[in-house]
Amino acid sequence: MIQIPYICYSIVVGLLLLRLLGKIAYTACLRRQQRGLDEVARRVVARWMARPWIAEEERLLLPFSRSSVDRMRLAETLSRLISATYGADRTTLQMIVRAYGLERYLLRRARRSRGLRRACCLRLLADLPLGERAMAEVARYRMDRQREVRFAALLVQLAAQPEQMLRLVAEYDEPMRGAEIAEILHLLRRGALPIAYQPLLAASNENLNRIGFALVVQFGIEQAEPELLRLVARTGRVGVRALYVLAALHRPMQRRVVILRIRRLSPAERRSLLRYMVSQEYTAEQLRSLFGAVESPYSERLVASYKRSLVCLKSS
Amino acid sequence: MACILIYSEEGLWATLIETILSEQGIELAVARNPEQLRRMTVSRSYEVVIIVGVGLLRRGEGWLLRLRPYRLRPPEIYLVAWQHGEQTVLGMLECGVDQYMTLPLHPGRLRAKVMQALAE
Repeated sequence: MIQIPYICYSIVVGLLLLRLLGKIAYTACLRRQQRGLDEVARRVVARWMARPWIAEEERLLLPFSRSSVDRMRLAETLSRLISATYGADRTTLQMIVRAYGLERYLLRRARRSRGLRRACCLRLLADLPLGERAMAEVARYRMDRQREVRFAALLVQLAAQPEQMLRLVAEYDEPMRGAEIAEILHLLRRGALPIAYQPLLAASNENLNRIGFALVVQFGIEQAEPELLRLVARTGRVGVRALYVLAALHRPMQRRVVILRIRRLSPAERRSLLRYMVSQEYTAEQLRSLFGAVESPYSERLVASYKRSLVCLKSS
Repeated sequence: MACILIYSEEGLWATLIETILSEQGIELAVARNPEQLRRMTVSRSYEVVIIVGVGLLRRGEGWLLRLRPYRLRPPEIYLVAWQHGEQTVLGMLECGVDQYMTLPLHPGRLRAKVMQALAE
């Protein structure tokens, strides 16, 4: 009977000690991981910057083993660095990928997993320099059941064969989501997809048109106005989107083709376009000339409802 | 010796910018949270302050005034962020940021701009 409290006390103390040791070990692991990530960043970037104070043989000596966890951490770190920079030399990356067998490792993981895990592996692959073997293996994921996997496979192919962008995107069957278009634009900003807006706007594929629209808006390409006016005349969503792009660039909308297109919109679409043009700082006079005396007072009520003062910087 | 302060809540970006700017004759300091930043700016002055992300400036705590209390340069304030929207960029520049660099970042370009600022 005397021993029972003693046993309970020993168990409790033992559990607390285990918990404390576990916490210490976990913190040490995290610190090691962070030091490793920092070291990867330092060495890879140092090579990119051609800093002479790090010796050649040290530049590729990274504090990572070939274990699964370390290779995944290395791939994630490289992916984050590459997606946040551009203009860097890819030779160092190719050496690291070869030295750690990252391509084979990620392909194997993608093969053995499903769904979002597979998509994650493919996205990491998209940021790394790949060989022909990877391209052949990734092609089959374009038929996967999961949309995220199909799009991740597209990203891998775009990264490896940027000159085939028009064909690869045209083969993507579904209408792209806004987030997917943003991902492709991110590749463009990094210089990974050397393409101009003209072939994107001239294509008959809706996804290519949408990428072209996003490109024109993001870079403020006013020279695209003639192509946009031609697209406004098209029926369907492409024509409506072209109107929004013209408004985003704050181009003059008092064109015959634009006025005719606005008249063909449904009342809800007209109101939505009116709201957007108000946010793009079109004046009341411009809106009245496009939407008439019946609908345009809505824009004045909308502006009056704003709780802070607005300054219209551009006049007609 | 020229001194540059880097503020980034994520270690990877701080290391990235530190490596880009490492040079003889330049001292680099890194702050990882607002409290650390406050202590570091009180104790000494800097030629250039590089802030990663717009989160710090959107807190409403008047960080630009704290970093530049007399509205005189130095320090030059550089902002490196993912936001590309015209309103965000213009807003930050109007508030007093000297250079707004969008991500993805060109390491050589950042280095050239900072070195030019230090040379002036």
